[in-house]
Amino acid sequence: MNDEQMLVQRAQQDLREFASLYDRYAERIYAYAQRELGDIALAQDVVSATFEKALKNLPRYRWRGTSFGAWLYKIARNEIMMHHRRQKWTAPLLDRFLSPHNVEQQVQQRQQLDELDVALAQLSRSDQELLRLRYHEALSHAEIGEVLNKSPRTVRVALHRALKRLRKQLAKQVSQEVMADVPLP
Amino acid sequence: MSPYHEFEDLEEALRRKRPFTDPFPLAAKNRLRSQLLEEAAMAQQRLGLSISRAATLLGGLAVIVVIPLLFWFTLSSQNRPDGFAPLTAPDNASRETAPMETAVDTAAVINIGQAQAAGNGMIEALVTVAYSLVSTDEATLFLTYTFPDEGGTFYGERLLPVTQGDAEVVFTVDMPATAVQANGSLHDAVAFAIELVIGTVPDSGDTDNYAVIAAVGTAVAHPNNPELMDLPVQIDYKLTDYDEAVVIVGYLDGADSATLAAQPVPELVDVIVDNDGNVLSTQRYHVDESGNRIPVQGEDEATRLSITQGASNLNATVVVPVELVDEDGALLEGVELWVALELAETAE
Repeated sequence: MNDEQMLVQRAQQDLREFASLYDRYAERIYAYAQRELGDIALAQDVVSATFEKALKNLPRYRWRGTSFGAWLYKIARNEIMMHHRRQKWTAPLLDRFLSPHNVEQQVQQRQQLDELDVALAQLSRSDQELLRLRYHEALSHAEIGEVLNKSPRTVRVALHRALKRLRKQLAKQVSQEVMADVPLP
Repeated sequence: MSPYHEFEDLEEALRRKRPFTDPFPLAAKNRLRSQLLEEAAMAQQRLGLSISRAATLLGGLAVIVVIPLLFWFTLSSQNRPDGFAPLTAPDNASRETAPMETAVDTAAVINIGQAQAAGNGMIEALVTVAYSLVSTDEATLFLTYTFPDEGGTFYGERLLPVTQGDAEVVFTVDMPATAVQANGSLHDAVAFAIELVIGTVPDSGDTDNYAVIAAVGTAVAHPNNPELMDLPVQIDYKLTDYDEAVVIVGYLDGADSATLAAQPVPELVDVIVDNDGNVLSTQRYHVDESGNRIPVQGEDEATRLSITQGASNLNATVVVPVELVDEDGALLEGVELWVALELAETAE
């Protein structure tokens, strides 16, 4: 039994011990929510909802051989998805109000984007999420599997494919640029 | 060492792309910590109280059971010349003196939302149900609703597997548009009944509609996309009290046995329709241990086939990503097929 398992077991026996799990993961979940949502206030809401749900469901939590953090990521991801779903309904209205600023912002952002950003944006949402969980959140295959309800083997294969597609997209962009630079006869 | 050594440069670039984040503001972090600690202390106190109540109850039970038993033993011993108790068990009446305390599971409809037009003369409404499941790990919420309509009674039902705990779930129910009053709320004559069923879900008696996967073939390469495979499946179905329906078949990666055990479960499919009654999308959910509704993967790629009243079988093709299929053309472990029946017409 590793130290995290012991912390979880202690917290299951006495919920007041949950504080040690919060101390261990609050920053990581906050950073994850911030990266996914790009908004500090929303990220705080997600952290709050995540830990409240975790506390409520802690007595039923069963160790699945990965980490307690993977379970927290899973709850946080659900919260983020729910936010996106809610936002889908309000987006047109917000766009209308924010559009003058958006144009300027988008131009600025576009200038800051590099080849990799552009290539990443061409990948499917599931590929992008896999890459973010692996390289931004530094989760293992098993942990990503727990977050996404997939087996570690599926995650490993899917990540390989996502990297392959990213490489292909980068190559495509480079060839397009070369074609654009060739002077017309 | 990375398992993707040919992409090490890309992996490094992706790590460098990790967006910068601000640290969790200390005040907010500490405030949430205190709040959680407070909640934890209260929950622990409730747990302690439950334990002490259980202990008190056990003590009470001991008094109720042991004292009569001792009394009976003494009396029986006195009645025998040898002074020993008889070897026969106490009669039923004696045993019934011990009251059996059973855990109480509860479920109740707590909110009925405003009705929305769903086309085809039907409306949809969201019904919120609160439940408390304590006696077992898993059960099924069984919601039935009726409405007197055109000389008969409209009957609808929804099922939802749930896990132990206290939670609220939302059902989408559909019924004839005549069930709605001018102000958008449902007519008083609409009656809901909710039951928390442990074990087999009761047969409604009238409904006999199902679709099940009868056979699965070997996956073959998809003709247009090398990253996909076509998996042939045979589906048995029976549709008795609906004119027509749609069979939806798809795959589930990281299958949850509890979800699959409940097949066929059309009730887990949320059908989103526009005002003209056109089906825009369907979404199938299962409920995780935290009570979150998780959209089942593969729904986007699910195959939809129309069927008409009768009992028969049909062949369908499920399109699956190649990484979920092994060398023999079978689905990998943990990847399962699911089938659901989307009932298209109101019951006759």
